[in-house]
Amino acid sequence: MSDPLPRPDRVLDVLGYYCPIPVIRTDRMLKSMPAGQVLELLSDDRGVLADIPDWCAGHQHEYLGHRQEGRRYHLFIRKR
Amino acid sequence: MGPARPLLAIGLISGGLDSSLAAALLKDLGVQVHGLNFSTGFCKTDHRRAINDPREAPERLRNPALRSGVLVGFPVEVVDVATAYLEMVKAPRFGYGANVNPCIDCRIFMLRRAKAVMEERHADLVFTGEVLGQRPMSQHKRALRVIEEQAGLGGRLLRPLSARFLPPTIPEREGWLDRQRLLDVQGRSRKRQMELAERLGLKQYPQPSGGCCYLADPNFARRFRDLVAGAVGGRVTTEETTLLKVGRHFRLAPGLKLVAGRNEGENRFLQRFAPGNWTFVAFDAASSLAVGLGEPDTAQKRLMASIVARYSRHRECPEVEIVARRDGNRQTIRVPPAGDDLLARFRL
Repeated sequence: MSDPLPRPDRVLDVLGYYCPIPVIRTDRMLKSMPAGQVLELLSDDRGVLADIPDWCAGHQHEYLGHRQEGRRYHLFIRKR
Repeated sequence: MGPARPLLAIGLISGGLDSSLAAALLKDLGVQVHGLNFSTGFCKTDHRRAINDPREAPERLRNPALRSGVLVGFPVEVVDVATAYLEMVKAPRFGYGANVNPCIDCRIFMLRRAKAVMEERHADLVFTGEVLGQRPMSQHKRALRVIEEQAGLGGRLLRPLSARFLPPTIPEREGWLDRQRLLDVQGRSRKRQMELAERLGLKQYPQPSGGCCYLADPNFARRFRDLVAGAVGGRVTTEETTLLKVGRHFRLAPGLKLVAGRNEGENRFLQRFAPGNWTFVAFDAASSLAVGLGEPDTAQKRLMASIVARYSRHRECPEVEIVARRDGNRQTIRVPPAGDDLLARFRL
């Protein structure tokens, strides 16, 4: 089965960091990217699975979903 | 005459019922809302995230302020203020509440930050979900006035839920906001808020907050005071205060402390503090992992080992073998498990 998640334009690694760092760094990274590009966030903070979709909804970015590898989460966001 | 655009309000959003309602009320009046959520380093949810139990549902770990933004429909900016906030907590001008909760200074701290954002974004006002008379230290009339003055927000700080009990703000005086549509809620009952939530269609609001701040927790307060009292030159780091939230703490001597994990998640978390420090675990038995902070001598290492033995599966045995490690060093220590009196003597 093919992976429906897109290839990212940028990858942000926040392994080992937990709230609020993943959200703050995601915000900062997306501000530096042009609209339409996709960011992959790599995190081991389980709370990001709730926070990043919420944050995207509030900031009008498109949350594309996540992929889990063990205790690592890959989340995909398209900048609007 | 009002501004030639919708009013823009900067809100302090905890994600609890009151701040969510204040935002919803303003939105209902046509105000554009931008939320700020300050991460102080003392939030209990953040701690659960640091422990990072893979069995914990993500929904239980979520930042309630971000959820509030989704439910009410406004962006929430998360701001890390932990380092500066810690400096304030160490020496609050207006003192502490029952524990080490500097409620008045906390509000002033956050409102000053919010004022800076208001100016940067050319917003018209700052708002909070404060309710007159709800909290004994920071939400009586005089405290609300002091907080507004100290934050430098004279006339630009709106508390929509209790606005009609308070002097009119500039947006009200100028007629940009209809004071009659703001509220007159006061006291500790949440009945009015529940009704308002229903009226504004805020049906899945986050649970009312409160009890989510470590600074109001008596156990944490005891450890915090101990940390500050022993700090060289008054220097305390956010890393040190993070550690206060985890495990059982034992003050063995000035400059010497043992922190023992209470479960697998805490043991895992404590591993972060292993480099440069002695760690202790029971040999060949499920046990707490403990980190010794400081430079223990031989007798003190035995004392630390005996505490760890007490929290091992072999606590009923006359002696337990404990493995102590620091960087490349490894020692085995055989000790009887610590008794209740010993634990009580050193426990923070």
